[in-house]
Amino acid sequence: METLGQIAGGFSAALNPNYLLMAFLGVFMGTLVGVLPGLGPTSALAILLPLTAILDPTPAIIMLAGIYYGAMYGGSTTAILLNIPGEAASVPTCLDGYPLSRQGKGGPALGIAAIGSFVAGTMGLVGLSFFAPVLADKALHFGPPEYFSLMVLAFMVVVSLSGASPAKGIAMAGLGYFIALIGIGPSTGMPRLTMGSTALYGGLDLISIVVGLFAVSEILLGLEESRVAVAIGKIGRVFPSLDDLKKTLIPMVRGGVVGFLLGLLPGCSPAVTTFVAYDVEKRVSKHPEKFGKGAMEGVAAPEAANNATSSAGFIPLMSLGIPCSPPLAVLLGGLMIYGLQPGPLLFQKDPEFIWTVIASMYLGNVMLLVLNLPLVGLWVRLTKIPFGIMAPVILMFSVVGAYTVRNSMFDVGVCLFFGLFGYILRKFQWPVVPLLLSFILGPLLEMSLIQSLQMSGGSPVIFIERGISLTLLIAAVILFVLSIKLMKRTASRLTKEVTEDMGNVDAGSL
Amino acid sequence: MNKAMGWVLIVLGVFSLIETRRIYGLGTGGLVGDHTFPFILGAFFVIYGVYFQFMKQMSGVIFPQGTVLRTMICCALILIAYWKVIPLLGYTLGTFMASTALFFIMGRYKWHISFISGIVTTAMLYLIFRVWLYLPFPGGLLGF
Repeated sequence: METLGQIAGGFSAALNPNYLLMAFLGVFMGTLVGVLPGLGPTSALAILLPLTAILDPTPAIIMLAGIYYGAMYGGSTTAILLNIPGEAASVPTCLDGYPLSRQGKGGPALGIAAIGSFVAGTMGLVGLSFFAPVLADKALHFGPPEYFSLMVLAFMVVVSLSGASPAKGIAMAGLGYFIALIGIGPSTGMPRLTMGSTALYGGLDLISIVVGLFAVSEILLGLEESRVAVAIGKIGRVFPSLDDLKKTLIPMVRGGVVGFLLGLLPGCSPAVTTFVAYDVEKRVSKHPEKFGKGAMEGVAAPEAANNATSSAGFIPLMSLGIPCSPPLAVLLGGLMIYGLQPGPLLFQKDPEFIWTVIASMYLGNVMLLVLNLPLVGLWVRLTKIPFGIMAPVILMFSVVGAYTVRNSMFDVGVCLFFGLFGYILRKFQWPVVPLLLSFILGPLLEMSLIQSLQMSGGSPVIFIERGISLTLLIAAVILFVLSIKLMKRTASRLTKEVTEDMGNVDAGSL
Repeated sequence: MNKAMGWVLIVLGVFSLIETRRIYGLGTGGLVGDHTFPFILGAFFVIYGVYFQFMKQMSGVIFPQGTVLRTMICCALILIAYWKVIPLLGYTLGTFMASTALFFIMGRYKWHISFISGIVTTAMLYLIFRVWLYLPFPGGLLGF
């Protein structure tokens, strides 16, 4: 009952016209960037993050959540119509979405994707509303040793975000941590790793790194691939038939349940759950032979799983501060820009903020459905924007955005450096997400380790003496093993599908 | 790339270990402090860097060539030049010049189309960042 009251309170705040506008703008802009071929939710968040940095925390996070949802839906548009998945999670949608599109059923497929996203997204949000506070309440008993173990658990996510090579992922995580250490040391108050440069005393700005790694490098990759606008034939009517709806309702719910339950596991990204949902649907189908040739269920299930996982991913993010997927890592960065540390204390210290954001996510989900079904024609036209127009605008927007966070030309340089560095890394399939995750979580790990060892007089036994800490460490080991297994399974499925006939997918987005 | 990255890690590792020694002298001298993680990372980087020297090299990475390579280099140079000249030319003039050049290079449009696209982009960014968000930018030659 308490949760229902808090949700009601959240809704009364989220219905504020200003917040509604932010949710709408987020959903709209997210979809707008997400439909641009090759750009997924991570890139969309990276490009638009600076724009939110000047807002107050609540409207900014509402907008970011909207961008996330919008970009995810936008990604399914390009996956269905152009066979271009913005992220690995959209690959299963391509498998049946694109054949449907070629059969002139692109419109109904987009409609099913939108309805599936809405149904499963709402299921996920209900789960978020009830699970997250419980988990956060349990986590309130955490002291520094438990936080350290939690951070170790969070770092295990790095493995699942490493694409095909955990070794490279770990190296990138180390590099991210190294970058995070630059600046003033928390104990001595003295500069470290700054090479005497006063510009580095304040550390490197998160937004500049995010924009460089995910926006600038994406444009450089697009330039190399000589991306061109693709002409799209007739897509048919957008509203699916009653028969299509009947056929896909159960797959939507099933995909939603699979996506939500797997999404609760830290390290289980949407890329993993969408493939699992697709495979489950194919297995239980009476007509598995239709899959891959244009089965509507093959669009409904992975799209539902994608959205349910994304909503479920907010549970470990909000209650423990662990991001489970690349866009959530960027979103975590967005929260931290405002000094908001996601975790149990956030529910205690700022419940109004948390519940307003959660309520706005319900509203954003509705907006997404209302906005996308009638506007599919507009989104389809957007996919025809030539890369030569889109790329310079995004580049200029990104560079100016990097400047605006601290009004610093140094940050622009950092953004450009990470743009070029990110291009090289992605070119050689070095995953960039672990670098970002480690950059964000590194300082927390350091602080909790220092505090824990100060508590124990320097003895590391404190981490296994305390029950919760030990449990978290064991969970980290289990998660590590599980992540490697799931990642290998998804990587082999992805390789199989991509080599068959697929657009560009960043393996690092696994 | 694995070997090159391995060397980068070794260099960063050695630098981190040198910094550890310096920071250790500034602190209380205990086991835990600002020097702890630079030490752990430094040691990790050196060991990992050596490991990458023996790791199997990735094959099949094709770098862009010809026109694409030239376009990419030009884009990078335009962005670097934009970063350097903004304080001198100012935000508006610098943005206009950089965006016009980017349209010309990336889109391969004719000069007059690039020119108009540059004006539109500059106006759009000006509207968003200066008019709506009230953000300050370097004035430079024109003062805005």
